[in-house]
Amino acid sequence: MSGMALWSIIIALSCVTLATRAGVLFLPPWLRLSPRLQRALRYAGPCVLVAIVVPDLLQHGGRVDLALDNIRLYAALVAVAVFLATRSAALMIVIGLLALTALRLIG
Amino acid sequence: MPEVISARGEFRRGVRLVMPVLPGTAAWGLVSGVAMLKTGLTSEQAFAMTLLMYAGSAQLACLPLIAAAAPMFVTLLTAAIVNLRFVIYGLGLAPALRRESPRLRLLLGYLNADPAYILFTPRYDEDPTRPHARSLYLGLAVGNWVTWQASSSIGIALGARIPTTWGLELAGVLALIALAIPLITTLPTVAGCLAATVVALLGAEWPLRLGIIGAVVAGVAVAMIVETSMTDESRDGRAGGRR
Repeated sequence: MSGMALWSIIIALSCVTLATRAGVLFLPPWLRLSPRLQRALRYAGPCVLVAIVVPDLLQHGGRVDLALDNIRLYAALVAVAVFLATRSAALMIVIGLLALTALRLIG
Repeated sequence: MPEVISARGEFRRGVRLVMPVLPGTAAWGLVSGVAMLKTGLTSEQAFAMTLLMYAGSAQLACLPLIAAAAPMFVTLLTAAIVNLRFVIYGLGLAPALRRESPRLRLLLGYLNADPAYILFTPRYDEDPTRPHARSLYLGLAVGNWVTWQASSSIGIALGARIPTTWGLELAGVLALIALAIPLITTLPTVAGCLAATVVALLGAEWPLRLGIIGAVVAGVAVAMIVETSMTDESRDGRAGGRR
């Protein structure tokens, strides 16, 4: 992506972020979101995260790749195990990156 | 003697309250800094992104899309969806901050981050009449902001020195997983995330990276259906129970 395109995307992302964060503070007090809509908004967060993460890890060169040479996937699985056991994001990232490096050096 | 509550005192109280979560903020900032550089942003672009956008999870979520040269509107929509929780946060903060001037509201909104909201609302709800709510919020938010910017800068400096072949942008994906797992607790969320995963995988080849948007629509729809069927069951179970 060209430098110009990256700059415009950074500016546009900043505007979108500001709008989602500050926008509600500008709504008139009588305008409320229904509880149902609020719950739908809550579900959207985890859904978009898995929709980004899972294909990013499973797919390697345009197709689902479960072979051992997809080292990012296996490093991430190690990291998930660490997170489930310790609930520490920092430890998870450190061990995950160490696993990635070990797999890269072996492979 | 009645407690004297000053604006400065409330700001300091906010900073003290946010201290325990700052190591977490710092780790995230560091990872975001490295991940931005390893996605191909220049140091200047990374600094601008962290300063103007100031949204760790949305920043990290957009990086794989930027790396894949996804069309701009898909990247923007993805950022907006990751940021949707701030709409909920804003609803919680509005009673406390709505009366400030428009310019200040813009600043207070910009400074909003997960720790600021999560730590502020229970204190405000405890006693909404306590003066200087704005200063308490600012103490929380500014403490988090300074930590984020400092650690992100260190991450950007580090990222510039780490070879791209090490693949350390994986740190950004791992950070997103750490964010997602604690959110996936209820049955509707599990069902929604499964649906989103399936559509995201099937839709990986869809034009314009629309698979991600389709995944969110499918995930939210499935989650709402499961939730509705669960409340129906509990209503059938005990007549006149929940709504």
